[in-house]
Amino acid sequence: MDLVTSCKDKLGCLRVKELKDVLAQLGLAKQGKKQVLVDRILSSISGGQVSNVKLGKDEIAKLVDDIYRKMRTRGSMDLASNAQSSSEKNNRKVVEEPEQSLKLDKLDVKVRCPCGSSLFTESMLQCDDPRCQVWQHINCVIIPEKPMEGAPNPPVPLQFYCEICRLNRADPFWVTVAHPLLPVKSTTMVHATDGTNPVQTVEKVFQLTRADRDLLQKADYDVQAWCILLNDKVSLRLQWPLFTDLQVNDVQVRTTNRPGSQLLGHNGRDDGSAITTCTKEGTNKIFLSGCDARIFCLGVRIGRRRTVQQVLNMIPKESDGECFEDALGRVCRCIGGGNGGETADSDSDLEVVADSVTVNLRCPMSGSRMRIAGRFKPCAHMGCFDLETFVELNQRARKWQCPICLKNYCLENIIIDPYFNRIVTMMRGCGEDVTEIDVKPDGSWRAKNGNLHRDLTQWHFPDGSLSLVGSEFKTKQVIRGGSSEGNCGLKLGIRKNCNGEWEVKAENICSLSSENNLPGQFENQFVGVMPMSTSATGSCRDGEDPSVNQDGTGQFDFSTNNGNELDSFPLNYDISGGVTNGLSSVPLTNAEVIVLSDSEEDTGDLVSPQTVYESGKTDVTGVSFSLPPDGLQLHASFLDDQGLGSGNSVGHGVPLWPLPSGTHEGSGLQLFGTGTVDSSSLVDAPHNSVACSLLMNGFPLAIDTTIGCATQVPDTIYHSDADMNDGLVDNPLAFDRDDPSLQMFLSSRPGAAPVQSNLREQQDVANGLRSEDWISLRLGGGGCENGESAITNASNALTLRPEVELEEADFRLEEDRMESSANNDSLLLKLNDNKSEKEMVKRQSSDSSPSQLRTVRPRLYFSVDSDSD
Amino acid sequence: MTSSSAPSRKALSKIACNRLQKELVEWQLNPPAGFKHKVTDNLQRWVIEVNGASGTLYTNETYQLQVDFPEHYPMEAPQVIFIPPAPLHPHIYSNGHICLDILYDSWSPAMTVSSICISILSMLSSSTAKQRPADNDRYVKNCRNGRSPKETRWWFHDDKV
Repeated sequence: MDLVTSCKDKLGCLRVKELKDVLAQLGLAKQGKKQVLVDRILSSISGGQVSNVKLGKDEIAKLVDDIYRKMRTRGSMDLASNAQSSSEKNNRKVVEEPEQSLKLDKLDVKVRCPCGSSLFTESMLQCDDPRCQVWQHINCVIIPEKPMEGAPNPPVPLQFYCEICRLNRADPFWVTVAHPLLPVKSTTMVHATDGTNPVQTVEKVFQLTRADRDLLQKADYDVQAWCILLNDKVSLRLQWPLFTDLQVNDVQVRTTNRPGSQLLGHNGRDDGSAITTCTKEGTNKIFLSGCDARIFCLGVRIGRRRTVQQVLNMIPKESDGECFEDALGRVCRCIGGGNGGETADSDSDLEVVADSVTVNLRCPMSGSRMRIAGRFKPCAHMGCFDLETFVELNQRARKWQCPICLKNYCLENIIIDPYFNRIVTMMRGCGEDVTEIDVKPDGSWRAKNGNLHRDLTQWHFPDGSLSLVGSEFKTKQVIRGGSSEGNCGLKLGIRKNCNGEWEVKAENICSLSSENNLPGQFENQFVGVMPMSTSATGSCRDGEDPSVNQDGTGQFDFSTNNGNELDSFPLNYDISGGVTNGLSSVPLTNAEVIVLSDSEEDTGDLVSPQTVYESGKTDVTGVSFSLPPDGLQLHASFLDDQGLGSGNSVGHGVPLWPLPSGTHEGSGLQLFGTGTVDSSSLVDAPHNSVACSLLMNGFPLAIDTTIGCATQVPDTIYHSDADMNDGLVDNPLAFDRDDPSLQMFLSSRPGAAPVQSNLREQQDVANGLRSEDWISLRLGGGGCENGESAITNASNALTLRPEVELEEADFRLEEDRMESSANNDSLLLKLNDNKSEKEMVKRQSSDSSPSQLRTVRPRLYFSVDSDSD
Repeated sequence: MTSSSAPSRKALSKIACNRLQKELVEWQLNPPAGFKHKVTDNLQRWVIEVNGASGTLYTNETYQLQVDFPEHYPMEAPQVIFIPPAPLHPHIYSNGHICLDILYDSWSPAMTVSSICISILSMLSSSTAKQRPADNDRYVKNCRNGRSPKETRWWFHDDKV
């Protein structure tokens, strides 16, 4: 490439600003449009018309090349600083080669150094602020902590800001309008001989014009003297020397409140001194002395005050600060990592990994629940603070320090946390007493203590939509021997959900893995798992969940039955999303599975589990079924915001599952039915929950009954179960899928007959497991496409006896419903008492939306070997 | 060394006031074990009774903490001292000043009176010897004019007790 061509290419990349720089160097006119400028330079290279060019072609080309490279370097730096990634900052702009520096010097590089010299020397450093980019002498601004002769130069910081940029970041409540006195370094006047600090002084004059004075008449303008310690470890703050004496026009001005001998702690902040009243138009004199060995830098600026609101407006909008996925990823890391950040009470005495963690939404500053969740973007923890409180407090404190990790930042690092802000926004209507949420490793959450806000106490996907969620109840209970809490149990696979596979590791006990692949629609695969804990209470961990209470029915205690180990049964539901699609073609696997119990009898046993829930729930009454939630986590996959709901589309709408538990004792609805018992009560609870869940699904499944109805409900439930089963059954062997998504191991007592059904709508039948103690079912969700789920017997001794007769088609339908239901709390459904199953099935056929549901009678019996764990 | 009078007693800011009220409510619902807040009508100065934890050198001993809140709490740390007689402890001066980093440099607005109390009790409980700091006399003498411990430049060197 010849000289002209290469120059032409480079010139094409230059901005007008750089082109003008080149022209200035060449002594050519700088007027004209970009193309004109380029042409002018090119013509000078090609020896064209311009007569006054004294440089040769090569020299001009080199000049162009230099500018071009310089621009490239800066451009990449801009990108780096915009990205806020310090890792990319290694392209430190230190100029070491004298040759290059000389050239730059010629090019009118912006040099401003507190030493007062604007010479471009051999070692220069450039300010990282993209709008500043001033060059300074390394030797002037990088000062070693302990100056020693011959010591190697101190390392250049990864991020360097010049004094003015530090000043501007130190207190965003002041915006600098002008610099009557640019920063100057203090000079050591007297070296102490007695070992005390040397005296250092600065004496300067600065001018204020009439225009400046007029400006200062306004209330929010001030002239400010400011001082910065050049090598302050807390870079973005002002600091006055020890024993500061500041005089403006021979009037002494106060600088700090601390005693002259007291060093500024790293938690302290000094402020600029307002000197407006001491100044006059024209020449002013300023004198600073201090007794300090460190090197400071003094300046005078005209500043305008910003209000709190103006500063708040500088913070990027929620959508601009950080994308939701990043925020969610952070939360998942913190929660899933075990001791996530500041998350509260983890039960360290349990080996079990809690399936959710309590997070307090109180602002550490105000003590109230956050209204806008703010955070510093670089922080790795998930703790937030109330944005408005924080900014308001900093109006005076000027301490842009994260209250959680105590790192120092500045205003431009503040963003709104999209994850928590969504939650606190949704909780705006809640009373002040609702300050805690449970968060699962997948980011789904629910409010605690929100008795008056039932909807918030249900599990929500990270995107704020309601999720079915499995019930957590169980797990913990078991562990604790019935203690109410159920944390835990789910160790499982929640994390794996992403894949769509669930693995429940209930230790030995049950593992369900379902795989459903959700259809493409949902990007996410939802897997719902419901772990049922043996614990009688199916209740939610906290007991808070209304839905869950454990009544005492206790019927369930699976734990007892099973080895305790199994504490929870996980029910996996696939999430609805998966369902629908899945059936059809999607790969998604939804797991719907369930498991459960020991129903010994063929007949209704299945239901039993439900009862359990019910009982618990009943107490609660309205409680939503959230229970299942634990177990079910539909969402898991939800990571994607989309949330099932969306995917499902309709999803939410679905709502009604008929959970009518009323009639049945064991009303099937509940996932775990303990058979006989209270089904009704349970049912009720479920209802509520159910409804929600249904909504989630959005499928119009038609739940036959509304929750309220006792009878109907069961049916619906059953349906779901049945479906589930069916699916399972049908496919059982067939599953090829790699993923056996569902593997459930249930340990149940025979008697207890807790069945878990998958939730799909019809599941009722589904699990009539006979297995006595433990059943481990594995559903091969893989078959999703088929819509069938395969069940594979778990390695464990599970024997499934799929008796279901569902048609695939039904399945699918059901599945859809299921999905919906599942999302909701579908899990609940499954339980049917023995009775229920059959009945339910029938009912389903009748009740359930006829169109979609076909009669299904899936009965799966799983025989589980208790031994198997 | 210059001295200054006791911390200025400017009234609490609105944020500070709200925050303290919340802390007080929280304290009443869920007081830290071993502490008792002595009821007063002064939100800005709390007096808290501390009972030495059983099994430690301070078992069955009771002391009083005085917590003064600055105007801009919680951005600024409260001043926390023992009302003499202060417990004998290597980090507690006889005038009641406590050498504890979270009260000074390491204060975070995310901390609360409750968390301070727990830290102090932990500090007491981990003590292996009932003794005053080595520089107690000198320090106390320096503080005779009522200096606040917040004006002291503390060296936090011992992370064991």
